[in-house]
Order: sequence, then structure tokens, then C-alpha cells
Amino acid sequence: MEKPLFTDPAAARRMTDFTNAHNGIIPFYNCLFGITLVFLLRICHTLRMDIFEKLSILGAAAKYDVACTSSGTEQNSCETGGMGSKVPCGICHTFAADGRCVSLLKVLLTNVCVYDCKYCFNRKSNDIKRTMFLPEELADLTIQFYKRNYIEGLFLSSGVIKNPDYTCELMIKTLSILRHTHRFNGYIHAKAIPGADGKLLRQLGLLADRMSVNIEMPSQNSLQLLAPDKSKNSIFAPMNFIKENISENTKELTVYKKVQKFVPAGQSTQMIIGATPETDNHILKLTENLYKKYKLKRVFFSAYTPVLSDKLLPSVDFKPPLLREHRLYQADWLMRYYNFSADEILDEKTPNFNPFIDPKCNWAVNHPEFFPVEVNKASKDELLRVPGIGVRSALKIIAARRYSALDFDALKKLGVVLKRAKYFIVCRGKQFDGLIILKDQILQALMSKQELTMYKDSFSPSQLELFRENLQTAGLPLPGLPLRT
Amino acid sequence: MKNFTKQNIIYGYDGTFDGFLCCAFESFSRREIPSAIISEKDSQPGLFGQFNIETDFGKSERVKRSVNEKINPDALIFLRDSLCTNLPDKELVMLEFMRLGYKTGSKIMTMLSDNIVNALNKAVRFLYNESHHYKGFIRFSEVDGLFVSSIKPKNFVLPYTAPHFAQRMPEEKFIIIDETNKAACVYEKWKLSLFDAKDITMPKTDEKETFYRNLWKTFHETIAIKERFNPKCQNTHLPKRYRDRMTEFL
Ligand code: SF4
Repeated sequence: MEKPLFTDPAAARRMTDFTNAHNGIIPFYNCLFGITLVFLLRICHTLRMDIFEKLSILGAAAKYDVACTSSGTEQNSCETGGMGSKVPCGICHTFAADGRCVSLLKVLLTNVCVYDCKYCFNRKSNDIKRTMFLPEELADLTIQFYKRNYIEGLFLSSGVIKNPDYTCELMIKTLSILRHTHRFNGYIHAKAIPGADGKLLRQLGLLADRMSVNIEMPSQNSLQLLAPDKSKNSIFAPMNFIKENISENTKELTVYKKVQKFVPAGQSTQMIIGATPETDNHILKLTENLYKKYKLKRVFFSAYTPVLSDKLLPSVDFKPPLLREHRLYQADWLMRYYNFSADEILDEKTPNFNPFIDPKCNWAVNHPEFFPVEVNKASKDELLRVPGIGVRSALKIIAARRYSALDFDALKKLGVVLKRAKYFIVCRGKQFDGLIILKDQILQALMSKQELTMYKDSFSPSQLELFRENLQTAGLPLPGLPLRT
Repeated sequence: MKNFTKQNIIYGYDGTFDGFLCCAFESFSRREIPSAIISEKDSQPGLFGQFNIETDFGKSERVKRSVNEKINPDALIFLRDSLCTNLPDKELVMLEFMRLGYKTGSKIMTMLSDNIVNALNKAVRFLYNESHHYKGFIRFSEVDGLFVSSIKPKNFVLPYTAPHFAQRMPEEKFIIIDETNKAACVYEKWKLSLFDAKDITMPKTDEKETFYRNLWKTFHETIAIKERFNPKCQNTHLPKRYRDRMTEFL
């Protein structure tokens, strides 16, 4: 391992120059490490690591990145020639054993990294096998998978090899082979590398459909603690840069038709949940802000899965807080499609989600003054506030009631699920037949099977009694129970 | 106007949409409701009491025009789609839909709480859903520059799925074989055509094909996060019936 230090003095010098230039004074062992990485990479190339192995390493390294939608743009190759189309609603090509939709070939270009983010498996201080795709190799793999209809496109992220600019250039090379040599028009999502030069980011953006910069941690403190090489600025600066370029581009597009589109599907971001102490309320507010201020298309949440032990992180047998992640997505959904604001969902008094009922039901039981809603008269927004009525049901109701006034039977035929909704609606002034309104019963009806078992399991019978009594007297909101899954 | 009467008669037709419209033409001009309408594909020849209706484009055009004008253009598309569903006795239900449609006019499309409209609507939704699924779940194999795939859908999804692939790879040649409906869709040089197809055997795969299949399997295995293992969720999103033709599950 020591040898390469002396065989390629030029590389060693470049590496030292770079690290000094970028990070100021760096302990000597860091440089050693960087050089070892370069060396390892050489080995990979000379030994021509089997592509199967590369794919498993670089696929596994990227799998925690959740953004895998391919939606947002529409295009096909009939006018342009070449290959590939984009469908606005997105297509899942398969589902992994964890139940997640797979629509893109999601890989890292390389898992070599000069940074040392504590939560990341690829951090430089972790002793793992390193490898890298050659741009041509990855482009070819994408095309072959695409033609066989395995994927909708490519999701390309990368560890930082040498420096952000160099990494970005390699990514640009890969994408331009795809776009120009293979004339590929399918979906490409590229991760912007924090700290890369604006010009390079712009080039990358012109080749990709969507770009994202991971905000990583829900607060500046946590970021500093766990990702010492990244600063808030290195994340928000590219985010802002992308936003500016998109709006600039939209202006250009209205003037000249032939302008190349800059990330036509917008940008998204991702943050890790559960590795740090932020409250749900904090995260939700941040999310709302990201949508408003940076015009993001999506914010993704990723329940922290321990990959390494570190005194700053939860222990290795920490279970990923999947329920919490699920609640965040539900709340995110409410903000994006149901006109809820972050303040309506959580506040300082109840800073965390109720583990037993979803945020929409939670809002409903806390706002009895809003209900019942008359199905035959309510506006779309009002209908959408009813637990159990989603966008599709609301539209169906609005379409069907034009033809005749609806009763509960008619709602059933429309496919509206009444299990939850029946407590909150009336049809032509009438309540659901035989409806007994006991708070405890409503509460149970609002829970899914899973939530119900959890709810029952979490108390001994006598506690449960007590809990029920409390609920009856104190109104419905459940006390802020600790969020453990 | 004379009321419709139920007749003990079976209509036979060629299985096409125009053919169906001719059945409708017959049913409306005779003011009768047949006991069954059977497409050529499913009928046994010489079935007693079967009345074969020839497809006459003049007649089907007239029916199209009248549906367009007296009901609404969406209803025509809705009927066309209904014919591709797997609803039992769909032709009879479609006739009933038309009779109702002529009474109510264009608002029939919003009468989702009506039983007939509802049944057809559900079947059509299922067709759309399945077609959408297949856009993702179809797997092609490359054989000498030709991309081959076979499917076993519940509905007749080819007309809804194949155009997607024509847009996706306009410069390639491909064929999708539908085993359920004994049909195949062939695409070459900006032309998509539908054929009857029986007993097509899938060609053998070569080394290159196996190589990419294995790569895909490798990828599919690596991306699952074991802490989140959730086969139930996987099964709801990707019903098992699709899997026997999906590379990663073979
Ligand atoms: S920069 Fe990215 S790849 Fe490198 S250690 Fe940090 S999170 Fe991991």
C-alpha cells in the first residue's frame, strides 16, 4: 500500500496541491489516504474489475438514495430520432425485495471519496473496496438495460474523486456519451456535486432532466457535525444556482424556441431522518421552505440505516425509523396536493407525529368545527380534508353529484372508501346509518391494521383503559408519544 | 317507439370494434336484445341459433356518428376501450350502455353510480392499469437485432402498450407476443402492426443476452435494503402473475 507514494510523484504532488487548495491545511495522513485511493483506482483499472462486481458495489453504494421517480417531463424520440421517451407519470419497471419501485439504473460513478461524512458508507476513512465505472462502460450499460425495458433511465451520483470539479467532469462525460453518441433521450437524474464549478454544473444541468443536491441533514448543526467537509453553503449555493438557471432558462425558452432545456424536470433533494435530534416539526418547516424558496419539485426523506458505528451516530443496531419516514411522506403529500401548510400539520406544542394515526386524520380529529362535510355541496378543498377521501375520490364525487344527489350507497359504488370517511361526512344532511360516535371507536377506525396492533401492543390492558379514559376526557389528540418504531 | 325485447338469439361477429358496432346496428334496428354476442375467436362453429353478422364499415360508421352526436365522443372511446377488457359478456353490457346513453345523452359519462356505467368503468380502469403496468414490466430480449417479448395479460393490452414502445425506441425493431389473446404486435420503421399469432415459440437467447440478463439480476438483488425487507409491499405493487416473464425473477 505504501509503494505508489513513490512510484508516481506527480500524482502525489497533484493530490497534495489539490487538498491544500481546497481544504486549507490538512493533516498529512489525509493526503496519504487520498493517494492510496488513487492507487486503488489504478488497480481497478489495470485489473479490469469484473463489471458484475462493479455493478454490485456501485449499485449497493447508491441504494440509500431514495429519489427514484422518473416523472416530470414528456418527450419521445419520434421527432428527434435516437432512442428514449419520457412519460409524465413515471413508470416502475420492477420492485425490489424491500417494496421500493425501481425505475432508474441508480449507481455511483465511483465510490472513491475524498470526503469523510460520518453517516456515509463511502467515507474515505472506511476500509472498503473501491471501484469506478468508465464513462463509456456506464453509458453502454444504460443503453443495454434501457432497450430491454429494465429501466426508464439513469440516476447518476458519485463520491468525490480527486475534487468536485474532476468528479463533475467525469459525470458530464458519461452523460454526453449517452446523449450524443447513443442519442439517448430517456430520463437522466444527476446529483450535483457540492463545491463543483458553476460552469460545470451548468453543463451537467443541460444534459440531465433532473438535478438534485442532497441537503443531507435537517439542520446546519447536524451537517457540521456529521459532514465536516460539506458546508451549508456548498449545498444551498448549488441549489440556488440550479433554481436561478431554471428560471433564467424558462425566460429564454419563451423568447427562443430552440434553447436547450436546463433540468426540465426540476430539482429535488434528500435528507436523512433519525440520525440527528431534529423534530418532525422542524423537518416539515424546512421542507415547506425548500419548496417555496428553492422551487424544488420533490423533497425526499430517508430513514437512517446504520452502516457504520461512530460515537456521533445512533448505535449500529438502531432500527431505521420507517414509520417516521412514512409520516413525513404523508405530510409532504398533504402539503403538495391537499393545500395543507406545515403549521396546520404540526406545531411547537405537538412537534412530532402521532405514531398511531396519520397526519390528515390527526388534523381532522383536532378540528371538529370543520365537520361534518356535506358531500353534495362541499368544495374540492373541503372534500380533500375528509379522512379517507383522496384527490381521485373527490373528483369522482364532484363529477357524479352533477348527475344526481349522492347518498352513501352511491359513494360506495363510486369506490369511495367509507371506513374512515363516514365519521366526517353527511349525505343530503343524513349521517351514515347506525353510526355510533364514540371517540375511541372513531380513533380505532382511523387506524390502519398495523397502527391498531401497534396501538394495542403498546399498552398493558389497564394502561389501555386509563389511556382511553384520558382520551375521552381530554379530547382526541394523542399525547406526544416518543416516536419509536 | 317500440320497446326492446329479449330474443333467444346469439350474434356472432369478428371481434373487432367495427364488428361490434354492426351488432349494435342490428340490435337497434331490430329492437331486440340478443342472449349473447360471441366473437369469432371464442365461438365454436355451427353453434345452434347463432346469427353471424358481417362487418360492414358503412354501418359501423353510421353508429359511430350517432354515438358521437347523440351521446358524446368520449362515449365512443369508452366503448372502444370496453371491448378490450376482460369483463364477462362485455358486448351485452356495452349494448345496454348504448341503450342507456341514447336515453340520457352526454351526461352518461358522469353517471358513475349507475350499475352499468360503473361495471364498464371498472373494467376499463383495470385495462388501463394493466396496460400501464406492462409498460414497465415487459422485458425484451435481443435476438439478432430484433427485440422480442411475450406477455400473458388479462385484458387486451397490446393497442395501449405497444405505441409506448414505438415512441421509446423508434429506430429499433420489436415484437410483442400476447399469449392470452393470440396476437402479436410488430414494429419496424415507424410502422406498428397487429397480427393474429398462434403457437409462436420464443427464440433461444445468446451469450450477449444472457450477460445483460445476469447483470440486471445482479443489480436487482443489490439494491434491496435488507433492513427494509418487505415482500408484502413488493407483492401488492408487482403481482406475482407478472413475474414468470420478468428477467430478474427467473
Ligand atoms: S461526499 Fe458523498 S460519497 Fe463522499 S463521504 Fe460524503 S456523502 Fe459519502
